[in-house]
Amino acid sequence: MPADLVQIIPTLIKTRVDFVLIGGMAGTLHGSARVTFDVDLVYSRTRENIERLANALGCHAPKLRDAPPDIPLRWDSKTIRSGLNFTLTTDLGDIDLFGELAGGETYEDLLSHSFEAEAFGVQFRCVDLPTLIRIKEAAGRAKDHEAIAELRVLLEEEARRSR
Amino acid sequence: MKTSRDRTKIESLMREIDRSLLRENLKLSLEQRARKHLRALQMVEELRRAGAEVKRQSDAR
Repeated sequence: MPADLVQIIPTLIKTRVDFVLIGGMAGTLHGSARVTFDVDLVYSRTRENIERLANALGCHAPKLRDAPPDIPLRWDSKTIRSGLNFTLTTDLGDIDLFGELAGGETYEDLLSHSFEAEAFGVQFRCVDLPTLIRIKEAAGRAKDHEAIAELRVLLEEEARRSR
Repeated sequence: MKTSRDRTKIESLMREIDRSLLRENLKLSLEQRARKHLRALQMVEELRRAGAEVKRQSDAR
């Protein structure tokens, strides 16, 4: 199910979940014209935040994406603590939650590479453009080539506008 | 990217990007960009549904 950023972000912010928006939706906020279907978030692994994350999504029917339907997901703080990264489908759309990125970066690492975005009546952290490019490059996936090219053009355009 | 081949590929792709489209996006607020994306997403979903329905009808014949 495609993710509805307009619903997901306020849902998380209103329950005080600490996260940084990354991935294609972050690209959208930076001006990307590409259509992306899921929301990627790096979340804080503190005990309190995991509790809040469990509560925030618990009432939105989270299931593990691409898992057989007969494998149930008990979405609670114990499950989140036991795991790290989760690819979920929810009634708000598909959400990918990262406790840690491929290069080992965490929420705390990304904070200084993010900015405070204001939209949908809330404020939230979104990764900055150079870091978004770096994350995609570190993933090293051929399918990201077009996205990286577009993000690099956006970086050039930003520089052109600030001159 | 890790290899010079990747870098060459990306530089080549950069030359094909429609900058005018991106410049229009950059004139929008963050919220406008997100809502524009959502509309595009809904349109893609509608086209997918229509395509699946055409295939279903075609298979039923």
